[in-house]
Amino acid sequence: MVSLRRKFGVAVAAGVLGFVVNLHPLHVEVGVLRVSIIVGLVFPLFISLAWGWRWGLVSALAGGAQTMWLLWRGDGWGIIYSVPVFTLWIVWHGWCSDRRKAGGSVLWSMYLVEIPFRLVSMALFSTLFVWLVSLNPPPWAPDVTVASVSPDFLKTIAVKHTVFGYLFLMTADSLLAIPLIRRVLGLPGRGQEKLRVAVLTGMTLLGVAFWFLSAVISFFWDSHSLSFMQLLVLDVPADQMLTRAAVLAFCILLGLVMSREVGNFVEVHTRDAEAVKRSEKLFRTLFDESASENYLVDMETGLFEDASKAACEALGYTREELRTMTVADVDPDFHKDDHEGRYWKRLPDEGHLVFETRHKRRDGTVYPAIVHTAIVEADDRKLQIASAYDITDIRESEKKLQALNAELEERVQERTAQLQTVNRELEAFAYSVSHDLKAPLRAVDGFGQALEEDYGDDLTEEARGYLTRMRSASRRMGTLIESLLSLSRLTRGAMDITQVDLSAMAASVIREIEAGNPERKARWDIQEGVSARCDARLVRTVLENLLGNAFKFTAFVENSEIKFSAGLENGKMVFSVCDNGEGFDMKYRDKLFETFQRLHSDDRFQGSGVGLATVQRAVARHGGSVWAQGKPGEGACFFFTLGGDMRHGTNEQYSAG
Amino acid sequence: MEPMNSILLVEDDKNDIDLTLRALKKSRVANEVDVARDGEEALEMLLDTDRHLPQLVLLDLKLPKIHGLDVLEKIRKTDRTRLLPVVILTSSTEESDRVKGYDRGANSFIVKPVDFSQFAKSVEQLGLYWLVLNAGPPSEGGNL
Repeated sequence: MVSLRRKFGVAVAAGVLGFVVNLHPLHVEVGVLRVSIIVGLVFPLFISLAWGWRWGLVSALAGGAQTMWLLWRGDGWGIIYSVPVFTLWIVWHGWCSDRRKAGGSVLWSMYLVEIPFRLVSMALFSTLFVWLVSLNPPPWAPDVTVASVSPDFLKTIAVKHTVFGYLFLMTADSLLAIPLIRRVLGLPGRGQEKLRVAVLTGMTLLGVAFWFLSAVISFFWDSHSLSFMQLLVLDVPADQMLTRAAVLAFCILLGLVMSREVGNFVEVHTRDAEAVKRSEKLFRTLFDESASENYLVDMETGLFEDASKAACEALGYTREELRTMTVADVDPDFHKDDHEGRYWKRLPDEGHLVFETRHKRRDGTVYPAIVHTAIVEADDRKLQIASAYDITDIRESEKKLQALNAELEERVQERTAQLQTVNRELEAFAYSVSHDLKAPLRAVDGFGQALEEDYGDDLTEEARGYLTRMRSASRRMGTLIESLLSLSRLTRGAMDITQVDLSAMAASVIREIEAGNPERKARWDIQEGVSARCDARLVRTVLENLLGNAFKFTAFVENSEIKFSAGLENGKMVFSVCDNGEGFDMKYRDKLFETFQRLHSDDRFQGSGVGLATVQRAVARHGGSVWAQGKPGEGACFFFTLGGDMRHGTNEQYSAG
Repeated sequence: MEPMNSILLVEDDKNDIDLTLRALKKSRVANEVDVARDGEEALEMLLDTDRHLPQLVLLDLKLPKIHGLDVLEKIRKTDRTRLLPVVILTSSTEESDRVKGYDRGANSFIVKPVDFSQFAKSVEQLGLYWLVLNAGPPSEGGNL
């Protein structure tokens, strides 16, 4: 990049240079008319085209388009138009050049945008300028008396401006094509620099050669008394000077244009050729070095056109051998009717296919492969490009996985069968317990009763007492067996999960408890609106046991109070049954839930010792847990959850109002 | 009330037979009680056309030779005994036994309690309902 300071310096310098050059305009006599060519305009124009209209304006104002204030003093008022129009011209081209660089269409080309500018400027010359001149003389130049503009003058101006406008544009344009200049201006290179310089130099030399030749011809053939050096440079006749200068200028200009065009042409074509070479190399590497087996197949003949390294290694053939073989030679399933939908028939329609097949190696062994294939059309030929992957490993893993799965399935079935057997045995055991174990007890109680009723009178008081204890013991054992059976039942059978109104269930359990113990009174406090998704039968057992226990252990309390409630704790719904009864020592809290563990003597509180074990099992079947808090003499609280963490999306499982 | 009815008690346990007989005798719901000791014997007695049909069958479930439920099924499938009131008398507290019993056409289901005085009361009440009122039980199940 060129710094702003440097740009400013160069723009101003170009302007000043233009100013100085313009002080010596090239006068060309065309008949009676003298046309001044202000060559210095090229400098600000050049800056404007290179860096945009702002720098062009700087350069023009720095002098590049201002010399004419001195030269054309004779225009009088007309100068107000005839000079600034050149600054406008430079800004216009700079602005259009900016549009061009910003990716504008070809219509922004400098040679095209010159046309509207020229039309407008000439229209203004023949109106505004003519009118301004008619106001002469101006106050600053009372000597200027020209007050009219001849049509000839306007025609000359039109031609001059058009011809030299284009000449200047070509010159600036061509200068911008010179690599050295582009580098100095910080513009991006266009490639083929050497060629551009060579063409320009060649054309310049051609111009110089003409100059030299012209001098030689006039030295030998014309009649004069001048030396060769005088004819060459020192004292050239005016007519020859004009011709030679024109030819030299023409050659240089042509050289500039040619170097630009030839450079661009060659650049574009070499770029294309290089791009083709690069992409060919890229394709070659991709094709040859990739891990997949790559093939190119001629769709007409079925012959392999090319094969990658991986393909040759996989099949065991060389590339040359493969070029004499067809797809059918390496795909044993190729001619089978059921071969993966006969892909080569579908391929032309679908353009791209993925299918599975087998490939046969040179040694006759076969391996499974997955093939991605597509059609490539090149030079009016249809080629099939295919990438194949050996999927032996995948197939083997799949087989292993299947075997493992089958084994797992077998083991699961085995275990399930074992479990079912155990379950059946357990059921049979429970059944026989309920039936056979109770029969002797029934006999003991029944015959005890018979003895009492039929022979009670013959027995002593003491004997009747023994009899009563015998019967009561047998009844208790009956209750124990019943409790054990209900415990074992809890672990069997399917769960039936529904939304259960626990408040209503607790109320119903309490009614039963009170009906069984009409002589006792307790204050019940049941939280309303407690519900949960659970198995009603199991949870009823839980409530029966917990509420029953609470009732039992408050028997000796003056005002027994029992409370059933629910609340969220750490995202879980926790249900609780609390009483103000006997309580227990916290060091036994783990023993509470063991089967046949009792913390109280039978004299004081009767029980089977399976109630809380039953509760624990019922709660565990829901994935929940149960725990207790208590203090001797101050009551106990039993808490339980029914599984499901509320924080993990099971919000609707529980509710407590 | 004049008891004038016969009952068939199907029961294999000697103790239970004696106790049941005693309870029936005391409650005086029947003046004639036949006892079958297994399922086969029970069916022989019921299907023997020479014999009078009892007015009520008290049927244990866990019986030798033929299970109580199969006996019940046979009773319900035989024209002669189709409408016979059958009360299952078992020590099983399994819900499934109760359901199966009613499914196969039992008219009632009594769980043998360990407390025998309670049992005597149950038998008495049932006997009165079935026998003395001499009204068939309301139909239950499709077999009737």
